[in-house]
Amino acid sequence: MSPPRNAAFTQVHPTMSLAFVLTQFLNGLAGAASLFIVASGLTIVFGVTRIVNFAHGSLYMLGAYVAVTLMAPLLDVSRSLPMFLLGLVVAALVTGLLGVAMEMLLLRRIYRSPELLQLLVTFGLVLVVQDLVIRVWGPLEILGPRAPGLKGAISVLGTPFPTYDLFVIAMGLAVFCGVWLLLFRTRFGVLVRAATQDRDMVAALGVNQARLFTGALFLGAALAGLGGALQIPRAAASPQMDIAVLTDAFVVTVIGGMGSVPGAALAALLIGQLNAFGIVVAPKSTLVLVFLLMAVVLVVRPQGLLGRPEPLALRVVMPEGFIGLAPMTARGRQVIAGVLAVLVALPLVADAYTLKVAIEVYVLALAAFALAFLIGNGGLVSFGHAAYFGIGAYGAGLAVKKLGLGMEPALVLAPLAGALAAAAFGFFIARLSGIYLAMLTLAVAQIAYAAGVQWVDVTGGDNGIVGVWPARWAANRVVYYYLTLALSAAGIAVLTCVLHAPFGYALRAARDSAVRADAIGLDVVALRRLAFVVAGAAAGLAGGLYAFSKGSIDPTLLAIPQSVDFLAMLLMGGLQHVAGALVGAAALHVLRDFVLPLTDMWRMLLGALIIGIVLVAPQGIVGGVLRWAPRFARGGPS
Amino acid sequence: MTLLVVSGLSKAFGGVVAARDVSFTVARGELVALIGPNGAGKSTTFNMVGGQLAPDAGSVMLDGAPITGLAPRAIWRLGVGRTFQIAQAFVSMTAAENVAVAVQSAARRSFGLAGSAQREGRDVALVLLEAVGLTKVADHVVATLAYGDIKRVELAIALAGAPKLLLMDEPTAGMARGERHALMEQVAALARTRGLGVLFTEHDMDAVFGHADRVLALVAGKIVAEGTPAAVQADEAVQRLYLGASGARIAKAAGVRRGAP
Repeated sequence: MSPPRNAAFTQVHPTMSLAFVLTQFLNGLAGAASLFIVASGLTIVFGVTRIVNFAHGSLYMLGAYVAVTLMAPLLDVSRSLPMFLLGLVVAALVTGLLGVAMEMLLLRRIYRSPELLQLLVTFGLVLVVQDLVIRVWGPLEILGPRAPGLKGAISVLGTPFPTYDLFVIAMGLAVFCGVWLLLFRTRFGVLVRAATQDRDMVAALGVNQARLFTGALFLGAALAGLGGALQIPRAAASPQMDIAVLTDAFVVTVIGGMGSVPGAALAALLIGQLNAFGIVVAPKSTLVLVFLLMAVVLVVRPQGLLGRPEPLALRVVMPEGFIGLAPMTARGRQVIAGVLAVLVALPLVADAYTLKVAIEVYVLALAAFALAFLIGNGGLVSFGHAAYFGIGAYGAGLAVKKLGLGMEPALVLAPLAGALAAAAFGFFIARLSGIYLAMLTLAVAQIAYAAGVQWVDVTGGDNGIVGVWPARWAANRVVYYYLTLALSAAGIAVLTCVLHAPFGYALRAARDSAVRADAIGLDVVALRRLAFVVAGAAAGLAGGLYAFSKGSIDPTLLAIPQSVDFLAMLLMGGLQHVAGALVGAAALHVLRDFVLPLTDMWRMLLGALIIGIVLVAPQGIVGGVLRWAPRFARGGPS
Repeated sequence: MTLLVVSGLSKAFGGVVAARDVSFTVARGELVALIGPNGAGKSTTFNMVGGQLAPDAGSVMLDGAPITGLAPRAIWRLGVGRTFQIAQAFVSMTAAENVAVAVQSAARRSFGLAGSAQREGRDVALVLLEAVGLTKVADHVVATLAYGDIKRVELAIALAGAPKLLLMDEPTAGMARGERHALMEQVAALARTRGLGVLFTEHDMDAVFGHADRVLALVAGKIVAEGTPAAVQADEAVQRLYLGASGARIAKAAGVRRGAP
């Protein structure tokens, strides 16, 4: 319940007066203007570089912080509107330059990398910037000054409407016109549009690509920074604002069509109005409404409202993922038996804390393995894996708390809940491919997260669910250790069997060449849907085991950082080998457990680690070992 | 009954007409070549027969049943195997696994969650690989094969569904000269022994005039000539419009070789 809003609504609703409709419409326009300014930058950068820049939200946040910092001295000089405008422009320019630095130092190195690695690098940057911002500006929100001359409200048919919001609407319009003129009336704009349509052709025509890309990043980052700076009189600058705006901007670009500026404008207008009037219809589910709109658009027009469909990929390139699944060798069996023997013997020597960490590693390994099944074998880059993990955890927790069931049936319900969610989400996701697929996985995971936070009656909101304890026989930590080990190992074994079964091969075939798979009778979409169900069930089981190991559940299990953790595990272990996810889960979790007490900069470390692996050792730990081990066996590199 | 009957196929992309009222037939055991300059509409015609593109107008009948506008996977199940201009194979798998995946699909086993994909259908896959001359590299990963061999893997994949009709979009592109002849010989032998209809496009005039039973010449989306290789190569319109002087010379040479014992 949000009393003020609802009170206003019940007062006005009986008549739905013209004034109310008009102010909501203006509210919608103001929202659309803010959305458009941020999203247009994201879509321009994507169009030119073909990189979905997660760090766009970070640039927005930096724009807000730079503006907050600049405004005080500027307004000290003269408390006037021109000074405020100057502050906005300088914040945008500074952010633009940060974007240039980002392009020259980082993005330039990954233009040819697989999509997944590009996404991970820019997300690594998000983590680094989050900690940097906290370092520089502190963890607390910072309130910006009000804009001189734009305080107060004007009257719209008797209803007050904030003057500043009118200014934001005007800025949105000005940015739209400015960007339009830039794109359609300058040589730079011609090149940006040409690159958006056909990057290879622009390169072949001898255009200085480096300069074009740097320019696009400057423009995109400056728009993000302007968007952030514009917000400060309305909302305080906070270290959490990056992810929030990122999701919004993604939704706008995906609905509008990635790379299309007019599409971003259209989508921003739609979403702005949907938010403004959605509040009247469903006060607490505007987020869900927006994502529903996105799902509908993607199903009807997968390339977005004004986007162009990606041309059929007929190039033969080695995919990022599992390369060949050798049948199990005697040596491989020995290694597995040896590792299992050590894990079974572990409780004999390990203390309680080590066992706790080990339990977490097994659970995460199972969930990460399920993700490797999707990405490594199916080529389905899921940025929302935490959804299935978290829904499994909530399934188990709710079974215990709401249905009064015991641990055993709850651990049966957990994979079912994960599979069911994956079936529902996967139904839509599997119709897409490539970057659109990745964006939709992220979006639906955000729906699950929003439900976890907002559906307080069921999920307990931010507090989550507490008191989810194992059955009495499994309450002993050693017993629960063996239970987790057995179920995780069984889950991984089942997934491995599926990888080697005709379904696993058919799924990989669809990854290698969807066109070829279609031409030999394979229903690619149906294969991918089933893949999501299988992976969702495994992740759900992991979530259930995790819930009982912790005793409590909260929405962070469903959130983007958890999804990124799983991706980082795959990356760290290595994507090209089946064992990568397992090694990566162990390595990352143990590292986190070791480092976390020592520093409050874990996010920065994780971000730097992700970026470092992609740039230096994209084959991960397992890939590295497999590459070097034979040479050492022969007596060192020759 | 004629195996493939294509009548009145048309397709336009925006204002560009890629195929206009294209009609032809392919009989069992017959090799039909579709020739024409770049952009003549060969691949468009192919993709409309194979289901990759839906035609604006016209119909495609296979064995008397309409297949117009069906999805590629449905068309494959009705007995049409195809290869692509740029070879499409499963690059992370071995040649035998590539074919086995198609064999499993034909047996409707692709959603099987248990069993070994490496063993299931391997015997059939090895027979097909032998038929296209790839026994030696059956267990090599496709990504490591020469491009010509990948095109053969594709052919074996296309044959895995026991098709009645084979569509081959530039089967010999990217192959060495000697290889091209060998491949076309194999395809011709397959067509004769299995009663397979083969429709192929080709830029290599040796392959066209040395192996096709019938030739269709496509220019700007329209069929301008049709008949035996000898008739088409003698057709003045074709010579002038498409083959040019040098093409005509090669065509003649190929015709001479074809006539030799």
